[in-house]
Parts: sequence; structure tokens; C-alpha cells
Amino acid sequence: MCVLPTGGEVQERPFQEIAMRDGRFAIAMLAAACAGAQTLPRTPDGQPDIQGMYTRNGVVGLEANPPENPIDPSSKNPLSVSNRGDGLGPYPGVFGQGGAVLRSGQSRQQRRTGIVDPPDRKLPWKPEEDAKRREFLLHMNPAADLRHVELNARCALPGLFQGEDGNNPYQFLQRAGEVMIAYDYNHTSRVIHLDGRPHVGPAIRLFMGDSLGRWEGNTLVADTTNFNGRVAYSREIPYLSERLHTTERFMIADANTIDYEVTIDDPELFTKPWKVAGYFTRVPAGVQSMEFACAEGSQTLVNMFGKPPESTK
Amino acid sequence: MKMLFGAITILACTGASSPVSAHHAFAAEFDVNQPVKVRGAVTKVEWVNPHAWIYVDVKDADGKVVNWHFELGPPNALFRLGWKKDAIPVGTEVEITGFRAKNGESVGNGRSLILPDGKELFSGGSAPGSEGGAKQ
Repeated sequence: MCVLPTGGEVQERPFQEIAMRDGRFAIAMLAAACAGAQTLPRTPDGQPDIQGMYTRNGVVGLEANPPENPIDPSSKNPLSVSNRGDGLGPYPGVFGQGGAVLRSGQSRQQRRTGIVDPPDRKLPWKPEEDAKRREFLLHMNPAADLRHVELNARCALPGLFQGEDGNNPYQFLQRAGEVMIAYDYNHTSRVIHLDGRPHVGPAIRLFMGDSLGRWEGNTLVADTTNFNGRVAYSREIPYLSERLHTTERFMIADANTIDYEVTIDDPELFTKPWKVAGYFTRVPAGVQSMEFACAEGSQTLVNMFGKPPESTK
Repeated sequence: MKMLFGAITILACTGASSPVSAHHAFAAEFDVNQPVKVRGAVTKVEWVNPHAWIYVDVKDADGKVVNWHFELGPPNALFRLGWKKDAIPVGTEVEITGFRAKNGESVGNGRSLILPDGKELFSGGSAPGSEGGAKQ
């Protein structure tokens, strides 16, 4: 396997270009050798073989100056739980430690994560939509009604961003003409069709969207539309609209790593697209997917609103 | 119980950080201003998604027994950490601290669970056998 030294961001450009830009000529020469030598295994239908089980890292990041979120104050607030696994928040540390098993043996990596475009992480909100979003958040605690209970807590399918990456791996599978990504979280999946079909009609709206893909070298490019407007980006951005259109790039960086970038184009909420990066890292051998049927025993609604008048088991 | 503690030691070897992964936000469901501490006998451990639950019979000041429910971690995380469904037998005396649910019922989020011998479970770096190595 060809291993390149990494330092800081990893761009989805030829290795040579990154290295030359940085003036690291020695690395450039090594990179050139690596690029030429990088012949990935192929599936029977000729796709680069991306299969395996991975953790996803860094895909959701906070925008600059996010609104105060009453259901989960920001990471600067000691009551925050979604951004910390140190056991110092109100949740016990064990909540974050299943992920430690998934990540055992993985080395820390310096890769692009979070919101990368715009670089200052100030998202191009339409002012009126930002105001609506901020108002919406204020009604989430106490939840004004079911609509203001976060989608994940209602066991909705997670869309592209809400896979609870701490504890839940992703399994990439391939067969002729398609790539399937099986989520541990909520035991859901998405299929990226590679056969050139058109998107489904506009009347069909989906939690996971309709994904069409193609391979550009070692990069899988997925174009996804037909979302149903019930997909959150994060706890600070609790919904995206039906007009959401994503373009994802899964770049096989090495035998254990897929660099990831998604362009989020939602003209209902934003004046222009923005981008988020992250990466997938292969899990240790022996990790298996487990059923995570969120609806099985969720007591969230009862804990918030009390039991329904005639509760049945 | 011995097997349980042995399994937990795998935590000590893991170092990569990972975020807490609760499928719901804490503050929407539980009240951080209502910490609770109860002591009683385990009546049931439910190994269900998206969170396991432990049930404990607690006697109040008048001797009345109230069954408290506490939310634990997600089963896939607990399993990967070495926990088994029967790790805490019915009847085990435990002390649980946590935060009460917003509905005001005898329900809470389990922050830590202490066995009669003082061993603390589920609380991360202080879990038996972890020697603090699991703190992230």
C-alpha cells in the first residue's frame, strides 16, 4: 500500500497538485509515484471496490455563531451532550464509548471536517429563513408540539447527516450498477444507482432522498434529490427543505479511508450552496452491524408529554 | 459479575475520541435541574433500542414502594463494550443517580449506577476495569 504523509487538509485533487502547491517537492515526487501505483481492487462490474464497514467522522459541524439551542446548548455549555463523550455532561460516558470500540486501532487523522465552504462557516441563510429557524428552535424546549420534537428523537429515518456517528458504523456494499450504504443507526439504508436512470418524479419524497451516482476515477459522486423536508442537518439546523439537493463525493484515499465532501444546495433556505467535509475510516475486523430499531423502546414522547390517556402496551 | 468486569477492560485500550451518541437531546426530555438519587433492588433490565432501561423498586419515606425507570446507553454501544443482557441480575441492590424526566414521573436518565460493593457502572472512565482509560 502506498502511504502519503499528511499534514492538515486533504484536498480532493491530484496528490501532485496539493504537494506542489505547498512547495513540498519531495512529497510531490512520492505522491506521483503513489498515484501511479494506486490500483484499487475492482468489483466484478468494474467499480473501484469501496466495500467494508466504516465509522464516519466530522461530517456535521457547527456553523459560526450558531443560535442558542435550548434542547442541547452548544459545546461551550457544560450541559451539552451531543458534542462531548467525556462523561462530564449529564449523560454517562458510556454513551460515547461504544464508538471507542468501533474506533479502536484507528489513528487520529488530520483531515478536512465540518463546514469547509464558506471557510468562515457563516452559512448563506436567507435572513427570513434564519429567523424562522431560530424561532423554531425556541419552541423545541419545552416542545410546543410533535413537530418541534427533533426528528431523531421521533425515530425518523436519519437522512444523510443524522446517523449518530459516535456509536453507529456504516457498511458499504456493492453489486452491479449500485452502491448501498447500510446504516447501523435506525437500521436504514440508501442505494446509489449507477445505471444512468433519471431521478424519480417530483411527487415522490423520501427521508433518504433519491441517489444517482457515477464513478470519477476513485471518487464516487452521488447526486441526491427528492428529500421530504423532514431531514435535519444538526440540532442547530433542525430541518432542511424538500428542495434540498446534495452532491456527495466519496474519494477512496487509501485502503482504510474514504474522504467525503457534500455540497448542500437548498435554495429554499440558503442563497447559495455550502459544503461539509469529513471522512470514513474502516472499523477493526470483527465489528458487526447490529439492529438498531429506534421505535422498539423509545420513551421520548412519554418522557416529554406524559402517557397518552389510554396507554396500551 | 466477574465476567462482566473482565469484558469491560477492553475500554482501557481505546483512545480515539468519539462524540456522545444519544438519539435525542438530553435537555428536551430530562431536567438537569432535577437531579435524583435512589437506592433499591433491580426489578428488570430492558435491553431495547434506542436505549436500554433499568427498573428499580425504591421505598419512599413512608415505606411505599415506587418502581423507578432509568435510561441507559444504547444497546449496540453497551454490547460492544462487553455488557450482556443478564449483567445485572434482578434483585441486585443498586444506587442510581441521574436526572428526572420532564413529565415528572418516576423516570430518569441514569448518570451512574453503584453496586453494593461500591463498584460504579456505566459512568465511563470510572467503570470497573477501565482504570480511567476510557475517558475521551
